[in-house]
Parts: sequence; C-alpha cells; structure tokens
Amino acid sequence: MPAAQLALPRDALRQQVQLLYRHHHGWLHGWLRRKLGCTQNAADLAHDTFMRLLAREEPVAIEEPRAFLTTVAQRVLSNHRRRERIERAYLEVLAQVPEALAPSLEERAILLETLVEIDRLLGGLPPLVKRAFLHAQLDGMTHAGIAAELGISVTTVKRYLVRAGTQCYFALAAD
Amino acid sequence: MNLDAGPGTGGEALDPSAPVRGLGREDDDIGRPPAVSPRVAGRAVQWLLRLQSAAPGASAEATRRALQEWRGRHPDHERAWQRIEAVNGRLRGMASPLASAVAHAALAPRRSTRRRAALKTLAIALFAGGSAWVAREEAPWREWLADERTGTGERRTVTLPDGTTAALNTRSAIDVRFTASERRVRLLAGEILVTTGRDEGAAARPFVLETAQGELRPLGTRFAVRQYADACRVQVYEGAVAVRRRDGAGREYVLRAGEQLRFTRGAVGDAAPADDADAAWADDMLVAGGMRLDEFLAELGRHRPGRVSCDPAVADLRVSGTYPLADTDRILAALRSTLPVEIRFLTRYWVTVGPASTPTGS
Repeated sequence: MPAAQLALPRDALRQQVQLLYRHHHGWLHGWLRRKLGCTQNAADLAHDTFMRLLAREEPVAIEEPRAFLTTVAQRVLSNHRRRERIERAYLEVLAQVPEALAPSLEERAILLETLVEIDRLLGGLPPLVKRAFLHAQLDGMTHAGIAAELGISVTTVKRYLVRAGTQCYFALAAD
Repeated sequence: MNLDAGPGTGGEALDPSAPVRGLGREDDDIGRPPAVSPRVAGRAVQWLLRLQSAAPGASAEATRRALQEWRGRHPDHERAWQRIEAVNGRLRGMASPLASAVAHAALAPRRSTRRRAALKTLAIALFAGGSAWVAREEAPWREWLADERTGTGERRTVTLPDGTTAALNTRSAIDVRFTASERRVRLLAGEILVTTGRDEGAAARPFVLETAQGELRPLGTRFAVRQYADACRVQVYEGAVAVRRRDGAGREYVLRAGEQLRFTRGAVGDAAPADDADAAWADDMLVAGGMRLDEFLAELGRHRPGRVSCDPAVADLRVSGTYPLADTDRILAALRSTLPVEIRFLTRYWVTVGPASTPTGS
C-alpha cells in the first residue's frame, strides 16, 4: 500500500471526527454512563474516545457510526478499568513502603503507564505464566530461581516463558 | 512445544496470514509488533531464553554469536529480535523492587494473599543477588530491606549493607530500615546478637536498634538483645550501648562492655554483669553453668517445636554443660543420663521432664 494513501489529511480526519462528535457525543456519553454508573467518568471517557479517534492514522468508519464508536469506547473503557485496578494495587503496595521512599509523581506516572501496557500485552495469560514472565524480565531471576519460587520444573518455566514471550512481544498465541 | 529443537533453522518467509490491523487494533505505546510469522516469533523468544540461561563466560559468548548469525540470516529474524529488545528495554526501565511488587500484585495477583505476595516479591527483588537493579545506583532501594525471620530451631546470621552482622536466634524477626539519615533495625521478636559495622560515606549514620520497650544506640560494639513478652534485655560484650525508653521519658543509660540491663516500657532495672553463656546460641550452643532445670528447659524449648514442660518436683535441679543445639533430642537424652529425671514424650511435640522412677501422677 503506497504511503500516500495511508496518510490521511489531518483536516479531513478532523472533519469526520467533528461530525461524529456532533451527532453522537450525547449518545456515547449516555452509553458510557450506563456502563460506569458515574457521569463524571463517563464525560472523561467520552472525551478520551474522541481524542483517540483524532490520533488515528486510518480514516474513521462512518457507515456504522455507533457500532464504530462503541468499539473504540469499549477499548477506552477497558483501559480505564485496567488502570483503576493497577492503581489500586499500586496504592496497596505503596502503603507498605516507608514514605521517604515513595516515588515522585513523575516516576509514578511512568510506572503506571508501563504497567498498563504490560498488563494489556500479557492479557489473558494464566497467573502463573505471568508471574514467571515478570520474574524473568523484571526481577532478573534465573530459570532455576523461578522454578523454585513457583514450585514448578525448569522445563515448565521455559514453556511458560515461551508462551508469555510470544504473546507479549508479538501478540501471538504460542503453539 | 519442543524446546530441545532450539532456534536456528531460519529462512522463514513472511506469513501472509498475519493479522491485518485496522479498526480492531490496540493502541499501543510500545508500538505494534512487526508482522512476523508465529514460527519466527517463537524462535526469537527461544533465543531470548537461551541467552538468559547460558552460563556466563564462553557459553554466553557462543550463544550471542549464534544469535548474531541467526539474526543476519533473514530480515524477519532481525525485526523479531529488535522487537524483543525494544519491549525488554521498556521493562528494564522499571526494574525496581517497587515496580516489580506492583506488577506482581496488579498483573498476576494470588488469590487471597495479594498484599503478602507483593511483599514477598519485594523481598525477593531485594535479596536476589543477580538482579539487574542491584548493580545500579538506585538509592534508596538498595538499602531498604525486607524482614528477616527465623523459624523454631533456626539460627541465621544476616549481613546488613553497612557490614553490620545480626545473628538471629530461634523464632526471631527483625525489620531493617536503612535511610539516608539512620540505620534502624527493629527487633520484632526473639533475640539478636549485633556486631556493628562502620558506616562508610561522608556522614556516618547513627545505628538504632528498636525494641517494643525502647531504643538502643550502640557505639561501635557487639551486643545481644532479647525480646520478652513485656520486657527486653540487653547484654553488652564489646563497646557501649546507650539505652532510652520508648516513651522518651527517664534518663539515658549507658551500658558498658560486660554489663546487662533489663527494662520494660515503664521501668529500667539495675545494670548487672553480662553473661557470655547467654550468647552461646550464636555458636549453635546452649551453655549452662548451674542453671535451674526449669529455666534450662524453657531455654531448650525455644529451639524445638512444640512444648517442653518441667515437673515442679525437679525444677530446682541444676544443669551444667555445653550442649549443641543442632539436636535437641540428644540434649534431652543427655539430661536423663546426668540427672535423676525421666523424659516422657507424649508426642514428639509434647515433652515432659519429671522425676525418675516416680509414678507420673502429678
């Protein structure tokens, strides 16, 4: 596909999104509010949804605007929930750490951002497979160390790491 | 999956069935994975595992060379490997114990022990010698250590970052909190023998040992502290230790080498001569010099699971000797051969020491 076709003029995209916004923002806000049970959050996420459309590289589909918006909003919503879950865990762990050692706001933002990404990349894998991967990539543990920690064999550790790796790096299910 | 086959038979072509991304794609800050075939992706991941498990030195070098060769064999190989490096670079950027603890707690929680699991992870990260972050200058993480504990009958010596050694007696627990301004050890249970190290750096940080009843500030020294239910006892073997009650009230006591002191939250006793025998546990010994049998058995009981009780009829008998703590059954057997006592095992975990050849009615 030639590059020229990929690069949609920014103005055309903005016009499409504006159109969607004018006709469907109220509906989307209502849809999100029903999902979240909170007007404030629904407004934020509706805003995020349209911002995400503006950042796209491909043209937006306007044949089925509401189905299209729902798909994008669904993703914004699951991202929101994922972030909430990670922030909760973060605060729980932070409560165990001496105050002086708490990371700065900036460090915290980067940390949470990265965690949200990893969480999505590892999404759907069994907990033990995730733990093996985190031990290997974050904690720098050896395969034998991971095996001992998780109470499984080194062969199983390797199998888990291949599975987690193919999914995390390549978004593929290992065979 | 056959891991033994290993990586290295390259030449895979682009997979035409690679997912076409459009509306359904994830917005992804790490970027989209390259369109490589599942086979190439699997190979690349196996190469990563090989690198991780290769023994340092010649083996790792050979693996790296072989990987280099594989990467050069096809552009897809190279792209797949680049992808792994890019994602791992991101992951390494957050290789701190806190990040790891949060990642484990949030991404792979254990069913009911999320918080404890996270803490355990912190401890692993802090004590796993080979972890990448250890080598980095990421103060203050390096100096924030998780709890140390010993089980019944276990004795262990830990070395703190400043070179101080803390020997933990049976059933003991400490917290270690080293900050920029002080080196603090909290005795949560049991007994420790501390030999303080010299704090290096521009400003030497004071060393503080905290118990439920007060704070001890050693001045270049070796001393033992034992936590009782409502009191604590400090014995100084070398140097000196300043003792202050937890509520800050009362004067500060300075104990010199060869002295011991027992104190509660509200009262500080008189200094008495220290007893070297009380620290023999650090050498895995129980030393008694004319010790009452009931006291001796209470001491022994700390080192074995279950219960050791003493019949009042024999409580006044005196025990002398040096007993290795490694085998508490043998110590009990030795008692029978030196004292007029009988050892009754109700179970392995319930031992009664009573008078010999006396009906056990009491």
